[in-house]
Amino acid sequence: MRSIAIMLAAVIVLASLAACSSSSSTKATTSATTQSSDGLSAAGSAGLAKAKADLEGWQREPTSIELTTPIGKPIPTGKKISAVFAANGSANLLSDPLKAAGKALGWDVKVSETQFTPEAIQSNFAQAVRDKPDAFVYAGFPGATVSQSLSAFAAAKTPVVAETVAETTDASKNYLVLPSPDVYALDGQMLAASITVATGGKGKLMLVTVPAFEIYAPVVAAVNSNLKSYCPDCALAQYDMPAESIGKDSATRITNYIQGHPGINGLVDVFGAFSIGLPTALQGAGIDPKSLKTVALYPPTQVIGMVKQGAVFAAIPFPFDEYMFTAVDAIARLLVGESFSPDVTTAAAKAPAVVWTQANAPANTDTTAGLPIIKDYEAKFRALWGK
Amino acid sequence: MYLLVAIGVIFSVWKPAVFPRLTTVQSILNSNATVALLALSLVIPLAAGVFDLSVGTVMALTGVLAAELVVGHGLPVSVALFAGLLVGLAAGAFNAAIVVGIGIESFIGTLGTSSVMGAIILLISNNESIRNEHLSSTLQDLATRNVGGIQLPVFIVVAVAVVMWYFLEHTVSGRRLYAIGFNVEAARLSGIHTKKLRAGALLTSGFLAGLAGLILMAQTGSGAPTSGPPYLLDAFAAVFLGATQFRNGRFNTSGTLLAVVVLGTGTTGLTIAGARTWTLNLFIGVVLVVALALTKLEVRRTAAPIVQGDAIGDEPLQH
Repeated sequence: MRSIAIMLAAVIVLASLAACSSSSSTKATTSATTQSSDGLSAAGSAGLAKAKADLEGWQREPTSIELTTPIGKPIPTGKKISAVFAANGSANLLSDPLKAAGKALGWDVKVSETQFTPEAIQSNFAQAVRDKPDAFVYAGFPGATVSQSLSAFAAAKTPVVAETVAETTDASKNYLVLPSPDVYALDGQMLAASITVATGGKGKLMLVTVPAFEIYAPVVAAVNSNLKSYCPDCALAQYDMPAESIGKDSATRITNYIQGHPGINGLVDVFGAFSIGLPTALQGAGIDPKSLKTVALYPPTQVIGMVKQGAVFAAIPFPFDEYMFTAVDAIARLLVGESFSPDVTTAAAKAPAVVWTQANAPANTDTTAGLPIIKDYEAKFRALWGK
Repeated sequence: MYLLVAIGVIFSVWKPAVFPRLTTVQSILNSNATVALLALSLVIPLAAGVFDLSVGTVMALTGVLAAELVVGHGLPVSVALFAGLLVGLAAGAFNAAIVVGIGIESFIGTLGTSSVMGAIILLISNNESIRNEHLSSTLQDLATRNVGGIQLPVFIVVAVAVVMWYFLEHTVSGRRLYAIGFNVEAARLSGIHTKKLRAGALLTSGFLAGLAGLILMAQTGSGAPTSGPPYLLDAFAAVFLGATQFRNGRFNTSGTLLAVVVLGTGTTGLTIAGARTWTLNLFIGVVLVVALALTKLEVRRTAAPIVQGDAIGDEPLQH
């Protein structure tokens, strides 16, 4: 009797959930009727050619840090910089170059790592306010959570550099955001071009994002809009991954979704780390991992290693080192009495744009250190600082 | 079992082109091996009335440590895996010392040891995933070895389950564990070595959680510091749902495995069907709550109380 009751309950639940299905709407892009010999429409062939050309350009190693104007005055030494980063795998990738840049100028950099709970974040920010630093740096925390501390910094005219946040630069408050929204648009374009090339312009694509992280929204929008021109013959379905599935069952969820939607041959991984464990999960469902071409945004080092092995088609790396040096450069300019120069805002708007594929990804990914995009970035910054 | 059949029928009717396939069965089994093993690691301690909240952290600890031994110290993968199992056992011994030796309540004691182990994980890993190409390729070869599409971790789970089933159902010690879970003081007064068995239960959970951690490391190709704890709630859900099956209120091996498959089939089916992501959590929650609630109601309705003391209800366990 109990089993029957449980069964009935499950049936009711499943029937209810059925009514909620198909949230992951498939968006077929416009398709022309004329077919070329490669099975693509005329617009599809043109889009693929454009995607290949653009991707080729983004595969070249960037050489410019986008800052050209030296700091004209002596940079004061002995300054105190406070920083708060989330205690996760990228904390060191942020703190190491920040400390290196600070050290180059003779500054003391204090980094706190916090758990990602509102109380812990606010506590660390409040401590940073009490420390009265000469400048403050943070990454990735929601503006609503830290607004009180940011107001305190603004009132004290303390420069603040924020990385990967949904807010925008406000020069009147000495508040700089890296990167600017323009970079996310470019990231989306690079992802769209890469997946178009990977699937030969005939993609049945799955885009996986994490809606809990606000910064991905403009990337997703840019992927959608750019696919219309790069890959008019492609179809794109979006899957919203819950944040709690990260590092848990994300590979299983993606695999199951692909099982339920046969023919998916391209994965746009906006979060960047969903390839980890995915080949094993795909094989476990009888799917050949090679049948799925993946492109990833801001991936961890492990995924960049998968790019080098050919298991992931392309990855757009996050410029941890370059951005932390840009942050220190911006702070230095403010401390010598300059405002945010056009140079700095340009650097924020132009990340070193690169797409790493098997052909150009770094050879050695057996490292926990960052993988700089511009090889001599440190020398270039030091030259601007006269160090 | 009826529930599993019902879910299978529902999804087969709902998505006839993609759900009722052999690959779906393979996927459900392969993708739930880790949570199944972690759930099994909880069966013996819960049968003995002991909560082990540290199993998720033990998973992460063994994975991180084994990966560090390969990446940081150049040890062969086989040696690192063996060392990982020893660390799982050591973690179990640590728990036993706190819970059985000192006598701290298991719920709080293992919460504390979990925090200590979390600190060790951070110390070893610097909060970063530990990997290199050698480790990733070797482990993923291991994790994807299969027979008929069923991967090696599933066979490990089955082997563990068979041994555990025999132990709990067909040995004196297994019976005594249930007796301890029913009433530890009564069991002690009847001459059962309660401390020894409860310590053994925690050693077993540490060992099996360590094994689960190594399997997870093999599947992901790296030792990730945050990899274990997210599985904790799913494992507990499976064990408690499993206790409503077969043994009518007792934590048991068969029911636990069935619960993992039921929950896995439901969530797999929903994802295949393209249901919204929140529906998976809703499905697990409703099935679990309804199953436990009905068990509780049935216990109240029947004259003979059958539910294990401090685990599901507040009635005593029938033997």
